[in-house]
Amino acid sequence: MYLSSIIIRNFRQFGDGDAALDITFNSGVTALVGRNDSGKSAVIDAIRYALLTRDQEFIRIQPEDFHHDRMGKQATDIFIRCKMSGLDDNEKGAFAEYLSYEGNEVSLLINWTAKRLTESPGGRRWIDVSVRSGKDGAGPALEASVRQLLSSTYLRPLRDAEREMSPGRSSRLSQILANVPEIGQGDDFNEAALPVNAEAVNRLSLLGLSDYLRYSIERHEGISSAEDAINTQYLSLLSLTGDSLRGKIDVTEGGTSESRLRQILERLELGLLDATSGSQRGRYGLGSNNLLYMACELLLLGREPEGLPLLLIEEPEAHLHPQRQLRLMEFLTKAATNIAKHTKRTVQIILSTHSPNLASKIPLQNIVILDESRAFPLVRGQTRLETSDYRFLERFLDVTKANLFFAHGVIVVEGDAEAILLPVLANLMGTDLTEYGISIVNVGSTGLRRFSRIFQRRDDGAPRLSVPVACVADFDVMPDCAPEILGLVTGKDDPTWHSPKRRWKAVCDFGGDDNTQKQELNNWRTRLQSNDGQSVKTFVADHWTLEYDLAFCGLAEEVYIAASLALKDDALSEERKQRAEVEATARTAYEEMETAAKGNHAVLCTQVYQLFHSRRASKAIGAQYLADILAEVGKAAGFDTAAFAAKLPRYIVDVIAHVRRSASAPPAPDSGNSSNA
Amino acid sequence: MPEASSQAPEITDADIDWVRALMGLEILDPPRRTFLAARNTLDVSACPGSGKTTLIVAKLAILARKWPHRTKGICVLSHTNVAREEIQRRLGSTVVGQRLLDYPHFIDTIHGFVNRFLALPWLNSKGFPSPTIDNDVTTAYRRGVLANADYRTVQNFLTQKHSSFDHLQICAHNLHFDLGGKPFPAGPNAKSFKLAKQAIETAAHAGYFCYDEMFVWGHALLANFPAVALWLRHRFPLVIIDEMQDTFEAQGAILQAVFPRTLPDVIVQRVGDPNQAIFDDSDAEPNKSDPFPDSDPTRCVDIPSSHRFGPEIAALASPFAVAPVGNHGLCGIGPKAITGAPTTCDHAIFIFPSNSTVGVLDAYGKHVLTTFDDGTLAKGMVTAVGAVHQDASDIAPGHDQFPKSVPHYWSGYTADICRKDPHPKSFVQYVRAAQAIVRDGHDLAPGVERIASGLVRLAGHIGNAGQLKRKARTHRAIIDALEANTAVLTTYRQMIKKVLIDWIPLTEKNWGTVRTDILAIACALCDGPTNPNVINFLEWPDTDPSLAVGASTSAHDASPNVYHVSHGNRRVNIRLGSIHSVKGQTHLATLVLNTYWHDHSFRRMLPWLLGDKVNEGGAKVQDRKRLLQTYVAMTRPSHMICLAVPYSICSGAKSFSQHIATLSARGWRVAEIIDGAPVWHG
Repeated sequence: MYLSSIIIRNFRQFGDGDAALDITFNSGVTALVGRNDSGKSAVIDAIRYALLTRDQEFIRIQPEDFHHDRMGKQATDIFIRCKMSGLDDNEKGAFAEYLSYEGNEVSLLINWTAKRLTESPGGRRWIDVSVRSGKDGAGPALEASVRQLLSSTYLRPLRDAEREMSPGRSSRLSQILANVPEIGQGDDFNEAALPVNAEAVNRLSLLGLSDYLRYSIERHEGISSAEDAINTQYLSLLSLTGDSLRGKIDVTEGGTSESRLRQILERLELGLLDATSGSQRGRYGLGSNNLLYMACELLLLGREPEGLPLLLIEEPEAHLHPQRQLRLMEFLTKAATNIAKHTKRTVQIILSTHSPNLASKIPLQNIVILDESRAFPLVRGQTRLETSDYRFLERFLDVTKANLFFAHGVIVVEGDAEAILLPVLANLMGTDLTEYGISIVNVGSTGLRRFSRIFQRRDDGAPRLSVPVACVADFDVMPDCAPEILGLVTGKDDPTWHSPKRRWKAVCDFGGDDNTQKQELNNWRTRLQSNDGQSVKTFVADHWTLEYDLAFCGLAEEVYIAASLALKDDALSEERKQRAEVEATARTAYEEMETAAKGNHAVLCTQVYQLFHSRRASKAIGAQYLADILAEVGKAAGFDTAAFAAKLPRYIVDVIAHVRRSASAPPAPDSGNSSNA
Repeated sequence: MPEASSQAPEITDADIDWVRALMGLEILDPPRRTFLAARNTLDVSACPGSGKTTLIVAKLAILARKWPHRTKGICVLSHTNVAREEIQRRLGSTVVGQRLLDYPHFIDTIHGFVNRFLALPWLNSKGFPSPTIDNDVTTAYRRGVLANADYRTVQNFLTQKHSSFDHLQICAHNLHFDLGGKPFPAGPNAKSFKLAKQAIETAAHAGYFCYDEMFVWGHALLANFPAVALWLRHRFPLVIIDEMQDTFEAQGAILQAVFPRTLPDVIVQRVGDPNQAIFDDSDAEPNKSDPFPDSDPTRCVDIPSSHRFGPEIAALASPFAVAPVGNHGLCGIGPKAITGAPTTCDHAIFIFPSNSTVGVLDAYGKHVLTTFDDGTLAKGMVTAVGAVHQDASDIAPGHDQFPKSVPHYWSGYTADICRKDPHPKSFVQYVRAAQAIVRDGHDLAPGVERIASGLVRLAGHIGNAGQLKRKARTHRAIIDALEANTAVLTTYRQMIKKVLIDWIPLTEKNWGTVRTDILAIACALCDGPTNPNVINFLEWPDTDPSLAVGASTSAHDASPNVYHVSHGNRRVNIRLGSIHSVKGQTHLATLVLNTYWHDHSFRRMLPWLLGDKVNEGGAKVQDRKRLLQTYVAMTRPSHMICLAVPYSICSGAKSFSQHIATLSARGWRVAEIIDGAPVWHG
């Protein structure tokens, strides 16, 4: 049995009708990812409200749990429906009176509603909660013991694992231990038949051991002599005849066997030992304790033969360094797929995370992106991703790329140069990408489309992700002068022009006359953009590549100097050469080239670009130098962003405009999770 | 699938000793111990007064203490709500027993089981909004679907065919219908058929159904998901069925489908008394598909000894047992309940003139008063019961069917206010029942609940009261529904106070004001019209038992159907009722009244009374029924059994005095009622 879907209406940021939330979950791991305030915690809380949690924490519905609509009107009814699927025969029997039958499917529906009776929570009954089964909640109400069976295990964010594991009244550890089936095993202690040897002592149950201890304490010489002294030397002298007082020294303990067992368990503490030496190596940090805590909860979940094996974890990454996060995610995935030995059950895990580390480790189809109070599961069939995309992305969606799940806008680029330059260019145009929460994902030479398809829903009519995604692509069509300058051909009659192995294109490949060329180039451009749609848009270089286009549009000299610096990068780093010297040489060389080009801008820019092409200046290093140069330009007094933007290729300007579309103003500073603490 | 016997905890002698101490039970004989310890499928025939319910409760208490499962439970089914409530009440009084009242266990009637686990989940899944299951309400709704003229068309047609609109019943999940097992007497093109179809289907889509129709939906789920039976056996590895003798064919069939007695994965223990198989509804088919008790004697246990009465009553009643009890007939090892009562009594037969019952109840009352002192009377119930108790005012003294029914012995008797009937025909009966509950139990809550459920039923008559069924406690549901309507809420509270705390005398005059309040509340509950065209349900019932001779006078003693007999300065209350209504009860003294159904009951029972016949002995179907009824009635009292027999039946081949001699020899004392007063023979 697992939680297969949840519908949430009028709860916190989730509204009614179209604004309601409807998510499907996997039987294994589901990760809720998304920015702050996207609704991750609200989903987890909705599950907690509807199913309850095993720590028997009292859930208090807050006035702000009721949704405020756009007009500011507050809803009066919260509705949460959890659907349980995949029930085995025992579970179907256990919940027989609550089941729903649809088609061939048998499921258990839990409808949780809270109705606001008065405006203020001050009143005695300000809220009316009902939990009913069946379609439309018309089935029988779920009794407390049934809800207990369905309760989930919940690990709160920023939990204090050390405190949870330490002894004390109703400590979590004692709760967990009390639920371990073997905890009650063993013999009772019998005063009439004392354990004869160590083996017999070993056979005692926990209660038996405690009784034995108590029995021994009472008979301990020190105790009995003190008790004797109190009674004979003091109390007997103080009491009246016929009204004798007697004292007894005893272990404080009492009540039923259940409460005595609970008292024993509450005295226990779980600590970490050094694995090799076995010594108690001082106190471990919060992170290690956190792992220990999760291990404990999983132990219990895996062992219980009954109930809903659902683990809710908010921010499992809390206090863990990246490698441990990865290890934890591996462990959780395993726990969710392995069938527990005793119970033949698997554990379902629903977690929320802000960690690109964790997100990168979770199979894509187990991820649900929460965006503007809507859920976008990435399961197969719901996105435009194809089967091969899932395989590809599982391999290549690494930690750095995984931050796309948390971005307000995403720019997908195909090379380091774009990744380095775009933030600088944006800055010079007056847009700080970091401030806007925009991530640049550098996919290298492959997979541009595969990444952007993450953000595209299969059904165009369905709600869309609000995150604008810009794919930045080269046009890769050289000006007609370029092949010769780059030495790819010698003259117009070179047979290479007709070679089937040729990997490059020039403008003349697109037709003889201007009109045809224009038409065909347009078609080519459109083909590059053919996968666009929803919030995803591809921006293609106006001509050839980023460097060429930058040069062509007005930064030819800067690009040339940067490329020249890149060529001399080793020498510069080892301080064999001075930067100013290299720059000066480059400037002179550029001026000569400019004169030689006689106003043929395409020739000049091709020659600039040649440094990256034929002379193999590193584009990444060149981009860094260019970034430096441009940053300096930006610092100059009287720098005019508009004038600068005019010097940039159109598509670069459009990229920035696209990704900041949704975020016309920078978002409020990170509010953290204080709202759901 | 694990065998059920491994799922149910073992019951040891120590456990039996524990429960004996807990419940203060007598030493248990071998058959009783066998039942307590049994972990196999088994049928138990338990004689009247054998402490069957006590044994079931004892067994359940042991099981509750040792039950290891959180999602598997014990399923305890009975035929009537009374038996279910009795088990629940007695379990609830012990700490261990309370565990059985909640999930995962289930204690209810067979109807309750079918509704909860089969029919309602299925109806809900098919989109029927919280169905209303009530024969009267549903029939009224169906009637309301049709225009008056159309209703009369169908009703007149069916009356001609010796049936009635009330008998229309859905018999298949495609909403096909019949007349309670008999086909509709017209083809699908007939006008009356079309009208009936329209009424049935419209009501079904609005969610109105009759009780027995739930079996149709239960079977529909089983047909579509046959594995449901398997799941339910996973849930309930142990099933105990009480009052097994009373199950109908339809109930037996569904029990057999879900909990067959031939599979190892479920233990089915059926408890009952084949000699007490009497039915409310004369049309109901007894359970023949899986007869009780099992024909295989190795799967049966017989408990022939009764704690209720002593050997005298056992000997008088034993011949009337259809199936022989044990090897030596019914055994009486009681009575033990009442101290100070005489150990032997004069078990009397009152022979009265065939055209007059005057003096019968008085003679019985005086006989009771002379036999028992007031201390004893305070501890036991004195009753007079007959097989037929419906109104028979068309039969007058002198008619050859007289006395036909209980009211012929006292005109103040009303069959409808029999308290066990959960669905009275008028609101007044709800109020009376509530008052009786409060008076007997000294607890207000169940009485309030009774009135509340009457209100919900009334609201269902007027409009849509579906949302009121969603709370476990109806009173709470009403208060919640009226939350915003302070004026009506106050009216509701005032009304409850008026009838249950202030005890205003429930007279026709007072009823007028109460009626107005009730109507206002019901209308507010269902958002219906403020002045709906209701309703017989709210009318003052024609016969008012409080006005009849012999009825009680004080308000707090307004128990209906109680006849008082005074002798000197002492008084005895005689409760009148049908034999069916006293099933399971123990009385101090019981008078069995002669009634008429195809023939006078004691005319047909005379051979058994005289000792000419014993047990079933080739009795015809009708006499079999009479034997069962007589046996049930005669096994009620702990101390004294009396019969009221009309003179005419004693005239026959043998002379009257010969009969009296035989009866005296068999242990009866005979009195003749002459001019309304008893004249004792011998």
